[in-house]
Amino acid sequence: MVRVGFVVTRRTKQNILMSTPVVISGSLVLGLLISYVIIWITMGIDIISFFGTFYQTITSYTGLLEPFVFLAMIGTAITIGFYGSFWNVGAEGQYVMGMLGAIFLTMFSPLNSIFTQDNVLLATLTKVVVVIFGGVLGAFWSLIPGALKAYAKVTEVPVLLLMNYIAYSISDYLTAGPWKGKYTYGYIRTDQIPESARLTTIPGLEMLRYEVLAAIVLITVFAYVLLEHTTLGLKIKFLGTNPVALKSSGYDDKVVTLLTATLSGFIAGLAGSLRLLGYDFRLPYNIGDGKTGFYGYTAILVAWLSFRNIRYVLISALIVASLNSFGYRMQMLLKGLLPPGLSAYAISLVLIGVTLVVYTIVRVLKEYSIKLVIKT
Amino acid sequence: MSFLGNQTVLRISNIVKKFPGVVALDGVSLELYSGEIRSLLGENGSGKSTLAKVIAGIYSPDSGSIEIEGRSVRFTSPADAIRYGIFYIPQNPSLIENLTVTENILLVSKSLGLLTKVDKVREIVNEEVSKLGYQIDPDTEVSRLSYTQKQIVELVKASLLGAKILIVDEVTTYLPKVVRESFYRYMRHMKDEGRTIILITHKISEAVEVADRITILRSGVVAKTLEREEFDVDLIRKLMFGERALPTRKEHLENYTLASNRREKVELARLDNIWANDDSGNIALRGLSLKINRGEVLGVAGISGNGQKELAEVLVGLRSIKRGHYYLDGAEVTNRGVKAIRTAGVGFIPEAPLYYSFSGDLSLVENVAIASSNNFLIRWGSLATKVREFMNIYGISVSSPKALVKVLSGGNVMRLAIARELELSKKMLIAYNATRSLDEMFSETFLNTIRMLARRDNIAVVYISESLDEILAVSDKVAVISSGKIVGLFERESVDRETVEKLMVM
Amino acid sequence: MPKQETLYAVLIILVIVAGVVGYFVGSSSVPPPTTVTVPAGATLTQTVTRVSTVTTTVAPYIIPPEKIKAAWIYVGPIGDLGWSYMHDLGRRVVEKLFSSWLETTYYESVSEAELLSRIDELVRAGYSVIFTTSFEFMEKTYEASKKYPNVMFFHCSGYMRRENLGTYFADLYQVYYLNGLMAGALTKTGKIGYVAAFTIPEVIRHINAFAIGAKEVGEQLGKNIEVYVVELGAWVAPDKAVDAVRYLVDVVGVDVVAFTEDTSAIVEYAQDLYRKGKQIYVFGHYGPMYEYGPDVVVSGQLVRWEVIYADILIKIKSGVLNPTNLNNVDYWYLLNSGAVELGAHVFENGSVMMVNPKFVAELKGIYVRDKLTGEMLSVYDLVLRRYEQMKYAALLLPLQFSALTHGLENVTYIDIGGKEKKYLVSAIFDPFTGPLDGWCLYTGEKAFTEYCKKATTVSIAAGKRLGHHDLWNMDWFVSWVKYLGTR
Ligand SMILES: Nc1ncnc2c1ncn2[C@@H]1O[C@H](COP(=O)(O)OP(=O)(O)OP(=O)(O)O)[C@@H](O)[C@H]1O
Ligand SMILES: [Mg+2]
Repeated sequence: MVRVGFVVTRRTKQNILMSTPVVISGSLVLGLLISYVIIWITMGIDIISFFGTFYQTITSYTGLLEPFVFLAMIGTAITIGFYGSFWNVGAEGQYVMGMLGAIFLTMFSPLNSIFTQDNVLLATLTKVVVVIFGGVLGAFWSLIPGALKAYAKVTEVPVLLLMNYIAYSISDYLTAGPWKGKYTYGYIRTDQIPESARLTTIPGLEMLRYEVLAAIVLITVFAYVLLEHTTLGLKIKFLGTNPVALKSSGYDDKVVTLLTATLSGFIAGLAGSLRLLGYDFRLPYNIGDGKTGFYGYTAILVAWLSFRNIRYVLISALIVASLNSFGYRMQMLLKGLLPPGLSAYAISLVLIGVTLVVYTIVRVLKEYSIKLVIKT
Repeated sequence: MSFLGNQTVLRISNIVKKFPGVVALDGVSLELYSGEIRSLLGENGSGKSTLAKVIAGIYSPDSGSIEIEGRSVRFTSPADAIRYGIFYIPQNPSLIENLTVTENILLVSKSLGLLTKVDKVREIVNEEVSKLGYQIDPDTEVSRLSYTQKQIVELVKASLLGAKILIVDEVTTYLPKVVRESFYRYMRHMKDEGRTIILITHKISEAVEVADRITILRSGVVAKTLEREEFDVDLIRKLMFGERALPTRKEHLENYTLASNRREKVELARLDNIWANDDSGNIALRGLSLKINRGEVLGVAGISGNGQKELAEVLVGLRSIKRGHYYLDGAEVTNRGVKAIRTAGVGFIPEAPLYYSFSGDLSLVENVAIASSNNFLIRWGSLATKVREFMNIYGISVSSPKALVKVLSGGNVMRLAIARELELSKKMLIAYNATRSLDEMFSETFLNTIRMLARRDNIAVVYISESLDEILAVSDKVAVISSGKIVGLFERESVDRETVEKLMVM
Repeated sequence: MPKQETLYAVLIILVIVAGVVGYFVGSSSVPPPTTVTVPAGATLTQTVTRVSTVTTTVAPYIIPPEKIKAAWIYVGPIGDLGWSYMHDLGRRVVEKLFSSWLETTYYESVSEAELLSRIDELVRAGYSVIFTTSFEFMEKTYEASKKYPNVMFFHCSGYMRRENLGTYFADLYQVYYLNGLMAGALTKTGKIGYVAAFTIPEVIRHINAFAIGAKEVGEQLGKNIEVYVVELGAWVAPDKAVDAVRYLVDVVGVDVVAFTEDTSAIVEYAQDLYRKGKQIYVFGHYGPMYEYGPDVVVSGQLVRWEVIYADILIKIKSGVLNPTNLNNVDYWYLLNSGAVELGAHVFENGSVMMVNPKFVAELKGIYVRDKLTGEMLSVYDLVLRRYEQMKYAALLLPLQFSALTHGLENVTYIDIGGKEKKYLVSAIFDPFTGPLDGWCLYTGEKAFTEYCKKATTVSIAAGKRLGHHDLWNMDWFVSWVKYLGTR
């Protein structure tokens, strides 16, 4: 009889070829090559147009900027959670809550009157309040699973996923009910927020807003300083790597769990309110049908790619945004070549999927050596 | 020495192993014979564990060669080495925590296609464990075992799987006397079967007692291999520690001890009828009471698993008290959390710092910062300076304060814990098996320091240890713990070893 | 740490190398973005990529483009038979037809949030004509048209226009009316179901037309016709749609179902019921769905977007349409244009099966009176007669091209003097002709029409034909439509 088994051991030798930047870029290259082979076999695209299109994608910064900033913001949020072993797969819901918060304040609260006046300064200040309020709602949304994890020992992942659906439902309920717009032409959706509540487009970078640019810079710097230079950040790292050590240093791991959840949710919420004020201007109905662009979910990939290292979030966000966009561009290339029944939309999923699988395998190989043992 | 003892089973030549910033092994050559017990001695960080790991296929050397029975081999994984019958029992038990003892053993034996029947394994485990004069239920989850118990399981695992060369890394440190003796018997038995044992230990006396040869490592090179007839404790010390070895001697410690002060006893802390559970919810402390005085070293003696771990945890606030009261420095701190106790100036040196004190995946500075940084922003510069000081004073050999704690040698992890915690011990120090993995010289220095702290700084020390020798050497007062209760309390002057030993097994 | 720095250096070098390699590969394969500039006097931005404005004061002139690169952006997947599929069919037709000068591409399953990024990419890839085929895309398309003044945008189903953004629509209400005639003949219970994606004016119009047809026939047969509407809140929601049908059939007791949902799920479900012994009549929507329910599909509506796409592209190619003159381009094509059809199946030779042969005999056996002439005829013949009446409207087509002339679409006859005197402008018959009574679904501020802004019921005088504006903004249901809300 032949027996097959695996022997897995943890690697101890640090290989320079296995350092994180090399692993990330290497996985990207390898992932693209494998994707190419798959696409070549099924559809016979030549390598020049494949990589030509990829080149076009990554140089078309305008198309990339917008997904990039949101993936980077939410990716940062999730990464902060990862540092503290708070596996924030609920960023999507927190992001939606941020949107709800923003539209609530701008349209359905007394603050609405500010945006109908002509006071630019006041409107600007109010916008800041609105954005932060979105963050607060996001934080609250993440705090619930955080508290359940800390005090009731409930695993956060299923709760967070559930919270995403609850957020979708709340949004849909409000959009179809009390918040349903007057000027929507019978569609179920809210009205658009007033012009003066919207963020300001940067001339030349149409996909960006000044406020969003400021936010991404602030969030990145904040996250870096938090994790590298503050006691709170250190506590979060201990929470993620050895909570017992955190406890025996005199800190309450429950409180740190709550703080981690709050910060993570807050940033995801900020991304939501910025999105609403800067891009979407209203809530659509059936928001869970991809109307959010699923940034909250895609950003999990960003966090995974930069696994517990805040320094790699931006580059990871760029990679995921490029792959996503590349997938779309492939549609143009593959038009007519696709076998019937196969949606070209699947291509971007193939690209992202293959690259992440490669990355995951390389990561595991980085940490562990795996040997196949065959015994007869 | 047996007749088989002359055959070379393992020859390693010129092994070099470098880590970033450190040369752990700098050209080590060694010959091992069948049917011998070889002791590997050396100070903390001298490369013992690294050498063991190279032999066991966990590390691959940067250069050098390994020959087994004359054939050159190249291990790429521990499984390779296991196939040659080389087993390594590491300093830090590496069993899978949430599996039972039986399952842990099955896991390995299955992957080798050996034993696959659960009942069979359970039976054999029971048998082997009791051969060692010990008792462990094969169906307990590993997470519930004590450090020492885990090592016993490792030992059983290795012998079950038919080790030809068995490497034990500091397994014997805290073995109860009976167990240790049956372990020696066990080793001799293996040796008679022609197998080879590499015994890594910090107890020179132990090496002298059981080993056939002693190889001494110093800074990654073999200082010397001594034949049995050359054994001499002073020589060994000198080879291990160099000239530094001379001033620190047992007598020195003794003298210091005799000069104990006769200050008035002022109570710092008190445990009143404490009840607490262990991790699996069984009662571990049953109405334990203890008075802890300033300026006094209170030794707590007992056999592993009688509530020492829980006592230490209660003292530092990590374990909740079911019943009873804990007073510290005039205030009640019962179930007030770790912070209340720590901020009162209490240091804690546990037997497993990688579990209790540090995060192995974070750096030395970060691990020091977590305990001592109170500001919102961390001042990395001054902390790094502090860690460098620690490295100098406590002889922690590592490339930089930014290195990860997990790369430290076992003893160096303990040294870092000592460095950090002594500083925090403004009023009280709780130590639990704190000399585990420390080399003999540093142990002595450490014990000295503790006494000095008590004397000079009027600090209360609770010294919980499974080593009675140490307790007797260091304590002003000795409490004996058994089944979660204090069953005897002696002043230093009136303590009698035999009585204590009897109380321990009560 | 120096090690770390070396690694960053390696990474940066890798990126640079990749960039250089990519540049050569990229520049050898990708044509530079083409500039489609049609200066027409005044101030125009010259290039797509640069935002510098070049002031030209030359007299208006048109350079028809040599080649046209046109792109379509779909809201859903093109795999189903619904909305996006039919648009893509249109694209495929024009691509083949005009292959000598037309190049096309598309993006499918694009969400509103992503629209601008996708448009950016298309423009950078040199596409100068962009069709966005969902109402949701309206504002974002408008924004994009401001950003790219030299690109021509066409938005389907919206009402926002600019000099480089036109609108177009092919409307099905007449076909729904014809379906309604058959529904009124076939229903046993008099209860008819309608599954609506959204209750937007377009769908309200379709429901009303369908209800009007059903009542016209059903009433004469002594049935009390009622149309029950369930709203889904989504264009593509097969599961919800089937749930809604199940509710309508099991609880409300309808035996005919029409719908606006972009998949064939309802048809398949009805066929399933048939197999289990329950006959439900359904009408295919948008695509040829007959094959999914040969025993249940009576007829349906088909759309031929290619009629509009061909028209637009020919007009661009010949210089009629350019990025300066789309302000009033607003196609509103009805049965007369050929952009919509009655039926649920297209035969191999290209002709349309208007009514499922399985139901022809039954429809031929039911006799009713034509309310226009008073003459008795079978329902089948009535359907054909009405079809022809609406199909023939020669002068209507040019009026349907521009927002400027939509107001003339309900003019049946004009008096041109002379011996012709009464000259036929639009179709002889239109379902939305009074007397009609209705109730407002939206009232007050939320209403779109003057009727419902002022009152809660609507009453159209006998003989009055509703105009383009009334149809386009329809926010009221005829009185025998019952709205059951969102499910
Ligand atoms: N994975 C590693 N990465 C970097 N340095 C390492 C690693 N493992 C060991 N070292 C270094 O190599 C040296 C030797 O370590 P080793 O663990 O072999 O010492 P040891 O003799 O077993 O000491 P101890 O008595 O404290 O257990 C130490 O300086 C240690 O810091
Ligand atoms: Mg060691």
